[in-house]
Amino acid sequence: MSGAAQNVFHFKLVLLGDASVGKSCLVVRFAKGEFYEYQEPTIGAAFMTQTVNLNSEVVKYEIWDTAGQERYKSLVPMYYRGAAAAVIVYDITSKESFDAAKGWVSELQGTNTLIALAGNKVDLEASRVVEREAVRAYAEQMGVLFMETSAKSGQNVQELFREIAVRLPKDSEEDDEKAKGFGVGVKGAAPKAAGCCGWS
Amino acid sequence: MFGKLPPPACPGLCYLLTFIIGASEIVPRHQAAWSLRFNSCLQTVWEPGPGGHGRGQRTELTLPELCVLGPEREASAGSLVNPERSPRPGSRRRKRDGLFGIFSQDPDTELEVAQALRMVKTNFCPYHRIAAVGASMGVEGLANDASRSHCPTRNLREIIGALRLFRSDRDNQERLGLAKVIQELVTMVSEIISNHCKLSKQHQAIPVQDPEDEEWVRPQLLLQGSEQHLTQSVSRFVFHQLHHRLFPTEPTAEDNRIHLQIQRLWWLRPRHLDLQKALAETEQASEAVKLLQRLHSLRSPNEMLEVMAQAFRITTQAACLKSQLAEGICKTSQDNAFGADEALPLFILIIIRANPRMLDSVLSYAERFTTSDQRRTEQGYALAQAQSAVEFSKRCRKEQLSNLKPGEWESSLVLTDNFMKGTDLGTLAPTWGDCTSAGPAAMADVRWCPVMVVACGPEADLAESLSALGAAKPCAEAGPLLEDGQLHLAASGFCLWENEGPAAVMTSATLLAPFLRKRLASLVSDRVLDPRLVATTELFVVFPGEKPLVAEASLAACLPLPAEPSLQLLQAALDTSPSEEMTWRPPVVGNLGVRCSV
Repeated sequence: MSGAAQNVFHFKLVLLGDASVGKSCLVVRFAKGEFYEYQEPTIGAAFMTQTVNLNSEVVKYEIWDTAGQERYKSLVPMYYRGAAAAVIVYDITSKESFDAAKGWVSELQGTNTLIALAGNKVDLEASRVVEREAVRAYAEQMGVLFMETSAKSGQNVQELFREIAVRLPKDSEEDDEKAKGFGVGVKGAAPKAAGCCGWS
Repeated sequence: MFGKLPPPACPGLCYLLTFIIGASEIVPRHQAAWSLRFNSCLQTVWEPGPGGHGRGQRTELTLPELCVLGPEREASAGSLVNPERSPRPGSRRRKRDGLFGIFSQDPDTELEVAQALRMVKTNFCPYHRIAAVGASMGVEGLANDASRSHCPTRNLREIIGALRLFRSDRDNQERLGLAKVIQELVTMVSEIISNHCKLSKQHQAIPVQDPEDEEWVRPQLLLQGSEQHLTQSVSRFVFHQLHHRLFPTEPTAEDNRIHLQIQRLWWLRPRHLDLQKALAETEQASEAVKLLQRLHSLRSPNEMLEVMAQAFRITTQAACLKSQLAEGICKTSQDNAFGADEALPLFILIIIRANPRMLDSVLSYAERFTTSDQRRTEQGYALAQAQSAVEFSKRCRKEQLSNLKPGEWESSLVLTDNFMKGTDLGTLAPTWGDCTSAGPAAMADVRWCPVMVVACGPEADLAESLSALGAAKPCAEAGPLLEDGQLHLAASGFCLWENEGPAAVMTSATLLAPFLRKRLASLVSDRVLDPRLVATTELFVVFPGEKPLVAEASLAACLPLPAEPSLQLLQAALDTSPSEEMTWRPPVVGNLGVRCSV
């Protein structure tokens, strides 16, 4: 359809993590980063979109933030349902937030969602509690993407979302969905009906 | 301009036209011309003119001949099958049960699809094929199968007619796969119109820049019709046609249950959810409440989602700007950027404040009839927020709330519950006594003032409506007054203040009796009423004083109570002073003595 133009892929990305780990800042940093020329007009809010240009493809993220407070924990599955990727954020200066992150990782393990673990606030190296190597080992064991980021300095923020974009499977899902509507009713049904009828 | 247009060919199309004019604020100007063009194309697809009646004359804007196949339809529905298409008169109708059992499995998924609706081209329609085979063998009526329904159609009107034949309450919709069929139909019609209008797909590839960055809209954009816009127009049209079959006309039991559950939390304030009060109190929040309250009156799932997303967007944007202003400057790298941690509680409060009617029906309607693409976008997010808010109010427990004052949870819930059950407040007094004795702080920031409630609506038989409530005499002190066919009533009320702002007004149901729509059948108890007024009723609250303040009110709940004793009890139980902002001495409830001077 777009001929020589780049293929655009849409992905739903959900942000998980405790309330004070700075997941909103992380995504605001990403969405307002100065690396991209065209930006969606957003003011920091719970829903944002941002694109990542890979060589031959454009990945457009629809970013869903979730509320991290304990009282909303049971509501979070409504948000991650059908997400292509999940960024689970913890605060390297808080052991609790990492434990919560581990909880999310195991909750999402069974789904098709690509999981990325982000240790935020790496600028606060001095008060670090969660050791990088321990997390790296954990991430390898669980098979999830891991990076330490800083929403404040912007360290690794773009890299994280770019890496997710690279890893997301792009099986031309877009075209399938486009073709589906008309196809199933008319074109698609043709061989089906003929096939099961068998008398043609 | 519109006066000169010829009258639309079919009544259904008036709808689309009205809608576009009504929605001109949100349709960008350069799309209006396209809306009209799509509309005229839709008219042709709906029913090609009298010239195109025969089979031969097909234009670009003719749908392929399609057959709608489905399970046996309800007995009451009339037959849509064209006389010329149905088996020839005189042919022996031999009914065969289950001949089409072979089609009951989807060859791809091997799932039972016997109950599902299918739309296939007539060329590939098993009924037509078997009939043809039968005819070649000299067997007539081979394809008469009573167990399945089969409607050949030639245009959009007939397809819609065929879809209307099936019983499509919520359980059935899923079994029929109705969402998929409608989606197919919308795509098909859009494609036909798009080909006709030669909407160039090339133009779509031009990166559309942020309109705010450009001071002028590029000329090619003005001339270009958008496929998205077309699909929206078509889907809106199709859903408008089917709306009364797809969306319940009356609140369902679940709707009422959720309505009451949300109602129970009317007293929830931002502090209970650790939200800054300023974020929840914006002009946009009130606007969002109004938007949400009309959700159930919209006629397509897309419009509902659009409105939900709009309500979500304006409140979060206002709150976000406010929080950034509060911080001085927008520092995105700060620890506390505005995000879902604030947006969700904010939206929960807004949903509670709005308590939209038929919310459950609206949410499930919007969810069932949207595409997976749509569910990923901001609209999908708004839907998830609304679903979360409903879920939260269903499960809300005391431990989940912060900053509760001692006894606040109990007293608020007991008050609401008892009001809902219509319990005589006399039995409430001990509970109230307990909570006030727990300390004067318990209800410290709840104050009260007496008000006058004025209602005015169409003429009605007062005595009859009162006896329907089981009340003997009206509590209205002033009136009833009949003027110009309008009935005016006024009575004392009791306004609870919190944080020095009026929070809720209570008055006796007997005041509103003539205007109440109807009783709710034994829901919580048979004394709960449908909290709705007849459409033309106006409701005002008058705060008396040197300069009386008049505020428009909307009814949230209505319970039959013996008015004056209950309110006096409540007043005594609260035992707090009237709001300090009131400079006048509050008269005893029930003796306001203000005459309705409307």
